[in-house]
Amino acid sequence: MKAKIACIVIYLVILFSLSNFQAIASQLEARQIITRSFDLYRLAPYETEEIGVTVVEDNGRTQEKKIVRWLKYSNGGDKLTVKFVEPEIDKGLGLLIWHHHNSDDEQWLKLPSLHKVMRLQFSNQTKFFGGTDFTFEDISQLAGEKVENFVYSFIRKDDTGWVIKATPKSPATKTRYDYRMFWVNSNFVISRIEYYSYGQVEKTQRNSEITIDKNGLWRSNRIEVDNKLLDRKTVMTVVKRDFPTKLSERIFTTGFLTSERR
Amino acid sequence: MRNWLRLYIFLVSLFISQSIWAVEIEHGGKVSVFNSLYFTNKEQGEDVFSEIRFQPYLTLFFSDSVLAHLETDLRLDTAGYTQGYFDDVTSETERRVADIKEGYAEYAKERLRLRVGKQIFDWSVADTVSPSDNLNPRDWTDVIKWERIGIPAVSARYGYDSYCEIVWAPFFNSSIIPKEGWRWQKELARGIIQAEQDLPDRHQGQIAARFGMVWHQTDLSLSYYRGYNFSPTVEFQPTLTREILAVPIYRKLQAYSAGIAKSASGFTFRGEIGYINQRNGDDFTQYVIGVDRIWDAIFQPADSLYLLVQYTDEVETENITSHEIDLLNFRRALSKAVMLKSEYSFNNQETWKLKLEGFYNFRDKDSYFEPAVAYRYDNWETELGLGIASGSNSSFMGGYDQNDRIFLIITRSF
Repeated sequence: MKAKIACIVIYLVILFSLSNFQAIASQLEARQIITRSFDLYRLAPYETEEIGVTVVEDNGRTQEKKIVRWLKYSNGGDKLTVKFVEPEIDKGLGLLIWHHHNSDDEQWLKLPSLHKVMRLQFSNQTKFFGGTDFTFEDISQLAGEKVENFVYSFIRKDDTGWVIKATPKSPATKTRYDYRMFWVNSNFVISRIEYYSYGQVEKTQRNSEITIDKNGLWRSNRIEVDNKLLDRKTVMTVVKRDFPTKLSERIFTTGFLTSERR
Repeated sequence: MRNWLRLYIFLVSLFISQSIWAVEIEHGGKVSVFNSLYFTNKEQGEDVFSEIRFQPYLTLFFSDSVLAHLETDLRLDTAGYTQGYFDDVTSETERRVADIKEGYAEYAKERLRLRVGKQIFDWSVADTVSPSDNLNPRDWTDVIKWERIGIPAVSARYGYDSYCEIVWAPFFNSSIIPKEGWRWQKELARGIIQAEQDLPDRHQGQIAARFGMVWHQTDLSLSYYRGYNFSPTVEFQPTLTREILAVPIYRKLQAYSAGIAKSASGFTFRGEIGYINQRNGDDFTQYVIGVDRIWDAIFQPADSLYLLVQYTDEVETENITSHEIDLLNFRRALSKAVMLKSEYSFNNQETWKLKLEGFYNFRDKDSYFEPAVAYRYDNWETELGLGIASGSNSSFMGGYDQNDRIFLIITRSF
């Protein structure tokens, strides 16, 4: 009898361990896929982009914007500088973000009417950026997901790719969303992201006109965000993109925001 | 045609002609109309004031390292505050009808940025009151809507996140203060007449240096300035009659200051402290501490609120000028004062905004508050607001309590 009980206990322990192992393996795998996707996204150390932004309001009003942005990807933390080129009223508006992987981001803003740059913090980063449907959190995460802050699980996987759910690891994780769903194809390209808040989809991002180089570095030349919460749509179209081997560190300083250069 | 107009046209034409060498040209600007309706009839100045202003700019990019930037300023108003045209590199004691707001050449390569020409510097960390912000004179034609005046200077900035900046301005440039008969001229006690500004020799230059760095998610800066105070103080001179002349004069000073800005838990904390050592004038330590924050999704998913609260005060270490007779000293108007700046945007397009800014001065018990509503559509921006000052006549803002007004600003960017 004792032997039987011992067998059952051992069996249960093994079963529990296996199921737990499977869960961990699955977790690691989902996280690894997201990590792999962003590793490939961040293969180039530097990037410059000219982006046309069209915002379509629910009343049909359309706004055209044009921004130039410079990115520096590094394991220590990314840096992003954005300058508005159009519309004319926004000329001189600039933003510098230092995206730290293990601490809060740092942000500086240059307003067109001022001759100085101000350090700011957009509280929990849920504020929309420059009149688009992207929040500061989105802009920051799209350059490189802070994977240590989220738990990733598979919703679906097949030959074409994976659908992965990213849930905040703890209440301390600073995010606007309850969770996000990533559609990742077999080339590790994120083709779609759904952002959920209050139990329903807040917005859907579709990445199209995808380019992949021989090393797997991928980009989308057209990003469309359908914002159901605000009944609005933002389309970002890349007009020009370069991956220079080197960009001056000057571009990622507050001094650059006060320069006319772009 | 007068010589100064020829010179102005020549300089602007010269700049435009350089565009054939430029690799890339960027141009734009704005046209604005400013209207004020004052509630109190005043002997001096008009009850209704209108100004039209045209500020085109042109930037020429000659290479990745070299650019030239020119911003001109053309303005006309119903009160006749503008006089003359750009005919000298230094500023006048009145606004010009046609002026160059900024015009400089820039060379930037890696850590170095050099600029030569007419420039505006803002080294402040805090809002409005700053012991670090000394270089540019101010235009106080409208005391509330004051502006910095560009100065001819050579500036060099070296470094990235940690940097050193040195500015040398070879000429003295005066601020513009309201004159006799202007709406914003300070009402002085009976028997005292405000005289013309007594300006130092124009070849009196100024020098300033700043060191800044980002350290542990904190912006730190140290700065030094040697030159003239941008704000005049009053010196009294007897006349042959019983009247006394109040002559605005500029004192030489040295300013040592430090600034800090730090973001934490969604708030940004700002602080500045500076020791101002004036020749033949008061020496004092001025400080500003403040905190600001942006909240979003308050009542609606895309609304936001920006709020800044600041406290400023000073400690005199040497008192030469009585505070009561130093009411033209705009630099020291706010002591023991709490400032507020807030802006509520109804949506993330910032189409409609409600604004409220102002201050209360505990020392003199005077205050100014300005609620406003702003509307923005495409390249148009409109702001309708109220300006309300209060306090006793001997206080800084109390002296302007007859200037309560409603104002409307319409701006079109192009």
